[in-house]
Amino acid sequence: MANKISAIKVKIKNGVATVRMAISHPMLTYAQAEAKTGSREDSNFITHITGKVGDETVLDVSTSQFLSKNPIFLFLFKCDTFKIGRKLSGRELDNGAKRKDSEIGDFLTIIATDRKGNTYKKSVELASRKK
Amino acid sequence: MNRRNFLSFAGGLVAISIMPIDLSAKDYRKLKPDVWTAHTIDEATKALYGVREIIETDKIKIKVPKINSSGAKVPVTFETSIDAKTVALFQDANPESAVAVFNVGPYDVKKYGAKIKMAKDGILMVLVEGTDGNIYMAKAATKVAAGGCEG
Repeated sequence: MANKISAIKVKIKNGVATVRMAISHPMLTYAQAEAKTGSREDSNFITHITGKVGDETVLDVSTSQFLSKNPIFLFLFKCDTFKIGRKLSGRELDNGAKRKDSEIGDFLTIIATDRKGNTYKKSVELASRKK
Repeated sequence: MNRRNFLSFAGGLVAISIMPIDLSAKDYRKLKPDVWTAHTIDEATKALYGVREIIETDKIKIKVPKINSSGAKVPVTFETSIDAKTVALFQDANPESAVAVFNVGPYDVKKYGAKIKMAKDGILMVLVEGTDGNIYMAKAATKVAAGGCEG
């Protein structure tokens, strides 16, 4: 399975965004790599995750091999200074309504780097149904 | 001037000029490589913060199940109300003790969660470096029915 950031979910309430993300990655520890291939150098895991909205950094974490395989990660950040988009309601979606450009919010970009130097990137819009 | 010396000097200058751009994102694996190879919580703490007094506090809350059926995915969430510069998560069950070091920015709510591996029963420790210069600490014990580090 290809390594990637498989999902990011953002929930916005009272100016605080709760972000849950799932990353597809084997997260091989040194011991696991040694048992599997015989070399500690084959270990591979996410070493750094950055979250950005525009130029502002909202998450900055250095991680080790002890996050679980296919890690799930949660963090919160204050988003009242960012532009929040409007989510369409079910009825509007059914009617084929389109959003105005002014209703599109800022994008949150998550960048993860692993030990082999690969980077994984995914963006998701900050949007909520209510203002 | 010796050519070799000159080269290293020039390299230093470049490093200094690059640093201000890098300040927004701190990679603690490069800044403090000793933290990630330390085998005990004490060693990792010393490598990260130096020898400083550590204050135990109830302003850090760690949420973790008392008993986990598998050590491969132990859900941990922790939060703090202290004005923090950095937050670190350590444990003492695995060969190395560091799990994550957070660089706290102006937008952080200082609540984080992750699923981590635990090879055996152990203690989770969250350390917070406050903006006042003190180090705060809270512990939580958890049990693991089947280890999740070697398989």
